Amino acid sequence: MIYTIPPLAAETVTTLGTFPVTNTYINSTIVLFVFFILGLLLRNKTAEVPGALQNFFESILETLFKYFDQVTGDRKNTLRFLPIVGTLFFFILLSNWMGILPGIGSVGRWLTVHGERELVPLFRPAATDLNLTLAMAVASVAFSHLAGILAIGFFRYANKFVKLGDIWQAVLSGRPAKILTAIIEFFVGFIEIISEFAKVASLSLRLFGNIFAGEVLLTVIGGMLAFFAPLPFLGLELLVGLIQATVFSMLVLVYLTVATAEIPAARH
Amino acid sequence: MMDLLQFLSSAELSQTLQEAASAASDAVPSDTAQEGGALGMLGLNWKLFLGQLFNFGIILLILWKWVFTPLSKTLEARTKKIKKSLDDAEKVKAETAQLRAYKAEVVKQAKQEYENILTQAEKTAQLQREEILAQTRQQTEKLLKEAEQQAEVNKQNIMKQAQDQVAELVVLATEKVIKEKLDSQKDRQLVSEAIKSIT
Repeated sequence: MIYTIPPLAAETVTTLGTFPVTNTYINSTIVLFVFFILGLLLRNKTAEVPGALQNFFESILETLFKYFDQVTGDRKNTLRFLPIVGTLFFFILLSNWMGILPGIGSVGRWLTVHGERELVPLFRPAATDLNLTLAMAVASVAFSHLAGILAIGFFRYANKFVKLGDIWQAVLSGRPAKILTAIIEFFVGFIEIISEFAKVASLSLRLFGNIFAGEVLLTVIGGMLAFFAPLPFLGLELLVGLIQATVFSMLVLVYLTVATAEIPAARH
Repeated sequence: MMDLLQFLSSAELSQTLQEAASAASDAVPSDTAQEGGALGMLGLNWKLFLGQLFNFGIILLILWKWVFTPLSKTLEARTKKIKKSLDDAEKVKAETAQLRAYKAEVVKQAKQEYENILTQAEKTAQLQREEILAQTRQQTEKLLKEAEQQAEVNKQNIMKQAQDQVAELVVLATEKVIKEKLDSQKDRQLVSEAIKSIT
């Protein structure tokens, strides 16, 4: 075979102590440095009359705000959630688009892998590592819970999942129908808990799957015909990268908005 | 193209994927192989997970502290400023309109007042003129009457004097006629002379 399909797991390029440095980790570190430099450039330099760089970022932000406002329904909430959602968006976008650069997936080290000498790529799109997507998903969902607790208080927030408070109020009201509903709602609460894990799984696997599939697709097409044939697929990957970044960040924004929303008054 | 179709239709792809996955687990025997199972095949590894979480956390921190917070603050401040400027502009506009209306009102009032004053002045002037005219006429008439009276008196005085003189002359003439007592021719001459002297 003249091409090797990238394995599901990121390949270890080298080790730092006991820490296995994978090619995806190298990529996410590169993205980190890019943002570090950007941050240094933008830091303390925000002026009322924006420079070129600030203007560029502001125009992107203004576009994002339009969509964010539709979800949060309020500019104040948008600004509150902007740091986490915006970071997710820009980070995923940049790391996805970096995967299209030449050299990503093709420049590598010859290492002995299961007895054979194989070219292990030095760079691989960061989102093709489940560790990263899972880390982002866990962090985002954790943030949404934290925001929910901060917004409506620990016990009222916990009552969304373990609805003991509702049962207690139903018992106090003394109406059997209400008690029955409260017990059913109590089990619905458990489903809510499961759904929180489903959120993490769907967020991480969706991003990982899409970007990994794109990388495999590019490798296969590039292996068959190196010239011209991959071009439309590169364009497709640009689109997929943007869409996945948007999907991930918008879903997290939805989770944050739902978590911080007041619980609607009991309908029974 | 045929190659791709064949490649896809055969089970080769999934086989290759499986091979690749097993290759990966072989490649890092110290970490992923220990976990094994489906998660190991996907490359999940707690060290890498923490590492990636760390990277993401740093990026989050950088963007949060250095980019999003100041940028959104600036955006908000600018929005506020623009809104204020627009409000101010609106206010100034309203004020200008008010001022203009006030000015027009003042000008209108001034014009009216000016016209009033003018009419008043005209009226006063007319009145004064008439008064002066009346006075003048009255005075003139008075003066004329006085002059006439004076003239009458003068005439009467003159007449009286003339009569006196005539009488005196007649007496004188008579005396002269009586003294001379000459012919009728002389008499006639005398009389004519007398008359001549009278007139």
